[in-house]
Amino acid sequence: MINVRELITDPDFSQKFTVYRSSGEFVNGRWVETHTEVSMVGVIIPASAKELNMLPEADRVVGTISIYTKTPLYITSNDRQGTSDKILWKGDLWKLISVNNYSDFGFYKGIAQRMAGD
Amino acid sequence: MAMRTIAEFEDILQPIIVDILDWSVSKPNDVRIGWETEGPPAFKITDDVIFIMAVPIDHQINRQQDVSYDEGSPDLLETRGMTRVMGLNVIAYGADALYNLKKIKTAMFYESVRHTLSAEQIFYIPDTIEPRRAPEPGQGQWWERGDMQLQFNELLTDTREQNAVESVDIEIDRENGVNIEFTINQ
Repeated sequence: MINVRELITDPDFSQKFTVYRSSGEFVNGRWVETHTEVSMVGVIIPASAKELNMLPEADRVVGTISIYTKTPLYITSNDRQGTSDKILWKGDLWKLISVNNYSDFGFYKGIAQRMAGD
Repeated sequence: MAMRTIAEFEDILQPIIVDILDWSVSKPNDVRIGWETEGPPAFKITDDVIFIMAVPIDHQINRQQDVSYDEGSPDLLETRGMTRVMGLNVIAYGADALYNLKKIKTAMFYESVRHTLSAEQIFYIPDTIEPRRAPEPGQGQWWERGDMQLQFNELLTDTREQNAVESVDIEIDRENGVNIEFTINQ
């Protein structure tokens, strides 16, 4: 199998970004979590355009990005007791909604959704 | 008591349901509150877990308000009392889902539960329909699930200061030129 791992950190494509990794626990039936910052290098590209949803109460902006990394990305997990990774990119927080484990080819691919509505 | 929020209502009911199921020691957090902002991790198909979600219910009795005034300093204290009918959706997963729902429903009549609820001005409406069995498919398996809705009357009060009249100055101008001035004090 071809390993494309080196492309993920190739300076022609890659950039540094911050991942907020959560861990938490239930307290009185409510989920309480904390975040740790993880610095990563990888490739981030838009997966869908920033789009405007015109709602009666306000315009809401949505969008998704694709993230390619050499290290694992995490979505919500009971075993890990944490919710999905949040990625800080271009001033916005993006929450992972899917992860593809392509580690056999040397990388992971995630898709993240823009968290801010405005 | 000020106006109670939906979250505060859920926080009152959560430990009560934990006690009813006798989970206080073994698994106090397996009665979970739904619609959490961050979407917490799920559970395994073998876990007995309960989710509670409060939803206000429209009812004629919600429209009525009773107002009373008490002496404050220096103003009056206006207290507005009202009933809110609150529904508590209870969703149970796990092999004992229906058993646990039945247990919760039955316990609403226990004196200890009624006493705890009434201390919070919450009163169970004894008209809960039978828990409904509703297994759901997921991850290639059927997950045992049961649903029911408990309903409660909640007494809410809203208190605020209302300005009181301390004194009124009266002036009477008469045609004959003799004016009268006086003050009425409280």
